[in-house]
Amino acid sequence: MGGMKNIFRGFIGMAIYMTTTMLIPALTFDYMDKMVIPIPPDEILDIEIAKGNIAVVIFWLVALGLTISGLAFFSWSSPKESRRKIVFSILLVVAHCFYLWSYKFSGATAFGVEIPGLGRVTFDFAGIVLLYLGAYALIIVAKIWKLIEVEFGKRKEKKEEKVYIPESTFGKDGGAN
Amino acid sequence: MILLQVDILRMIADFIGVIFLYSKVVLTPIGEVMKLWIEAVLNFIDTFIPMRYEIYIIIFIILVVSGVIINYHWSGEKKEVKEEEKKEMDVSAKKCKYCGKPIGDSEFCPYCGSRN
Repeated sequence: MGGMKNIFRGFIGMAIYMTTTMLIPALTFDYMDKMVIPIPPDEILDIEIAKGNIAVVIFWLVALGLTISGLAFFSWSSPKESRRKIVFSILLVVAHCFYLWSYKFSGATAFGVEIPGLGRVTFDFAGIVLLYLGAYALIIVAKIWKLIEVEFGKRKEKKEEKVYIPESTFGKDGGAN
Repeated sequence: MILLQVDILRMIADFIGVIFLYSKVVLTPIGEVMKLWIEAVLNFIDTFIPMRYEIYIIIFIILVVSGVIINYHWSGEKKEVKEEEKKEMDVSAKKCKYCGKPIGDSEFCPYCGSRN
């Protein structure tokens, strides 16, 4: 019963990560690529994102999104306070770092808008990506700390279990007869 | 700009802005360090691993299948210890007064023979 519950939890996690890391960003980029904003009387607002390299951006989103979803499944379906849950959640954060940097890597963090009659506006989100990477680094440290904590907890538990010797080892009289 | 005229939204925006402003000093240098190795790994992947979806789909399938197998078989549920067994555990944890070795619930130590 517990096994099925774990698997169900894993699928929920996977669905959440698939939606947030693959579906929504891929659809957004695809939509932005095709989007045409007409400006009266007969001009068009041109949004230049990833310098026409949208296919590369979507490839990295899907590729790393799939890896993240797989790791999320493993992490969410693992039992609470288990070593494998923490190890896979660390891997999940590392994969998230790659995912985040892939935006910058493929040129999706900078985009420009050509406003007719006014000029060009450029947005660069590389600074925010660095901020997030810093936060992820701290999360990794916190998770490693938790892994150490769980490891020590398990060792202590094992030590306590070792003290227990069942009655059957010596018999009722303690093996005196 | 229109949204910022709503007081609560402006407060939230200010709050987030303050968090970003102060955490930037600490987090951005850490992010720069992270950037170095991430960029190196992504460059390696970009150069040596072909840009094919199949590779990542295989990774995804391996992770899900191994997750199902491992977490189904080792679900992390602890066996329930019955009350009688608990009592037995308390008794069996008794140790010899003289040599310190476990003696179960017996009167005599099976190792040194002394009476407890």
